[in-house]
Amino acid sequence: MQWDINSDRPVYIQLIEQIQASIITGYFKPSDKLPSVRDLAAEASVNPNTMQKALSELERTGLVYSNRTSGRYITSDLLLIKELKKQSAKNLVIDFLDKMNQLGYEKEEVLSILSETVKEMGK
Amino acid sequence: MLNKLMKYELKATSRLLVPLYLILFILSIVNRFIFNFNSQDVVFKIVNTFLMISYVISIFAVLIVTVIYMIVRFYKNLLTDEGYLMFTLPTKTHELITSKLIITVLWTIISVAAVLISLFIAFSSQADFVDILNAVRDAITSLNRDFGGNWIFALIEGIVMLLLSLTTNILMIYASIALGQLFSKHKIIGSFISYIAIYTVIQFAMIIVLVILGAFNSNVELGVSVLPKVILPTSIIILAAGSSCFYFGTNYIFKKKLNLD
Amino acid sequence: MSTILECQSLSKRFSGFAALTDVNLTLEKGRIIGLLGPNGSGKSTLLKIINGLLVPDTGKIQIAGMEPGIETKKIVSYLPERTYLNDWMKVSELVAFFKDFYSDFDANKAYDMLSRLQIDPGRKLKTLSKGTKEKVQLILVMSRSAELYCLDEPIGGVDPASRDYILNTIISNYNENATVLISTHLIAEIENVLDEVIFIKNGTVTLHSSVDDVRAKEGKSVDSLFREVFKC
Repeated sequence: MQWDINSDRPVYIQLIEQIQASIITGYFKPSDKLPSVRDLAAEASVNPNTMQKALSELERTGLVYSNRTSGRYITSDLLLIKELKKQSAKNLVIDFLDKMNQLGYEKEEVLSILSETVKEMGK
Repeated sequence: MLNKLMKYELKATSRLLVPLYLILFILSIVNRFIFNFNSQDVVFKIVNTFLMISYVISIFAVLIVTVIYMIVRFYKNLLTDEGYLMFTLPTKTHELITSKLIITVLWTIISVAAVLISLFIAFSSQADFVDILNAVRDAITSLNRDFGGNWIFALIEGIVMLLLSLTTNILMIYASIALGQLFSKHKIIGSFISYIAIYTVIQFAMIIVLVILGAFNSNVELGVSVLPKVILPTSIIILAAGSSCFYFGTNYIFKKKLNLD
Repeated sequence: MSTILECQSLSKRFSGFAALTDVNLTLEKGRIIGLLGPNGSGKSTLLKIINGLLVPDTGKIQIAGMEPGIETKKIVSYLPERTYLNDWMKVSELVAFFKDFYSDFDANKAYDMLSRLQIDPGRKLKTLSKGTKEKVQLILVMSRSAELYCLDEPIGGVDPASRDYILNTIISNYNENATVLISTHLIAEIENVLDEVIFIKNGTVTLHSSVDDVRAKEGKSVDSLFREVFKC
């Protein structure tokens, strides 16, 4: 998995986001066993404690659960994952609308540019 | 730990010294053959002279190089970059000093023995062997006579004195090197200055001791028999005291005042 | 006890120059910590004191509750910023040396890392390039299971691919009972690997914080903060 950690935001937040992204894209499938904290940290070139913090947070929100003897697993709760996907999409939209707003576009204009571009891309 | 340190010290120093001694032996064997050859050939005479000179040089080299190398090694291994390795090993500081002391004494003895053996190889003959045995027998007899029958005791004392004297001298050099490294900028010069300073102090001390002893003892006729009973033991005590001062001084400096660059 | 290192009012002077002044520091177990500061800030002095190579003038220092000595040397693994190993020895002989003196040394691990970096154990150290020598020294230091690793510029003279491998090794080596203290200039490279950072300037500690806290509070990377704080 390709990790992309930049340097101005807290690492653990970026780790959470990227693990969530990989759940959504299906890189990590429901009920998949996650590699150990150390292996994940080595892969992402981050501190194991920070990876641990990110995983603990994901456990708290239910996306990941841990079995004391065999390690950590992605949740099998498909609804939760779907909800996550939707929330991610929403965040993208909010971000997009924000940027469009900064460019000076009103909401109706945004919608028409959006459908125009989608049509063009369809060709 | 001490054994391990000595093992590595021996291993490291053998690299230079063993080949050196081997060259000495080879030259002594070569010289033995050349020596017994008699030829008027000019070329032969030149080669012969050259080999003889090489041999004499190698004898001096063995003795001088052994001493200088062991001193330089003490400095290099403990007070330059390698010191970062040595002083972070889980050993006590005094073990570092002791291991080097013992191996240095060992090599000094070996170097002298090597020279003697090589001389034997180069020059001795059947007759010489008998001469040596006779000389030893005479020496024992005279020792016996001079020291009131107890020649073994005197011999042991003599050997102890020799070893102790060697040890004291080596420790004096170690102490000078240790003192030298207190000078943050001129460590090597500092070592030489320290050595001269210590040497001078000891000379003064010895003069004072001799004057005191002389003042108390005007009976010259005690003579040689006093040697094993009074003078040698006194010297041994003084050397032991000196050795201890140098040893503990060096140890203290390395433990508390170490400052590697 | 979860504290591996404790410094109280540590001070050290060298002929008129104050290398460390009143340093107070507490390091916990299981952390990877960066010791960051410009040249001459006192980083090396602090590391030397931790390793018993210097005695502080005032103050107290304890490693795992003990004063620096033979017992702390058994649990501290030090990588100085220089070639400090015997040049004439072969790599395999150096492995044997470490194994002989350190009971926590894992020779198999060392050979494994050497082969991964394609270093021939039969070579004498002095025939290797500077970068390779540094890798060998790092491998030997990391092959011990110490409680405190002190690494002085571990990735300085090394190519980027090897740097990745070294950082990877430090991460994989991690265990909750060990602490790694890394002194370096290359902050951007290792920032993500650090739990905490310590800024040291002119012999005093000016910051000791977790990396995430720095990013959250200052809104910038540790590297950027460092450039600000230590601007010339």
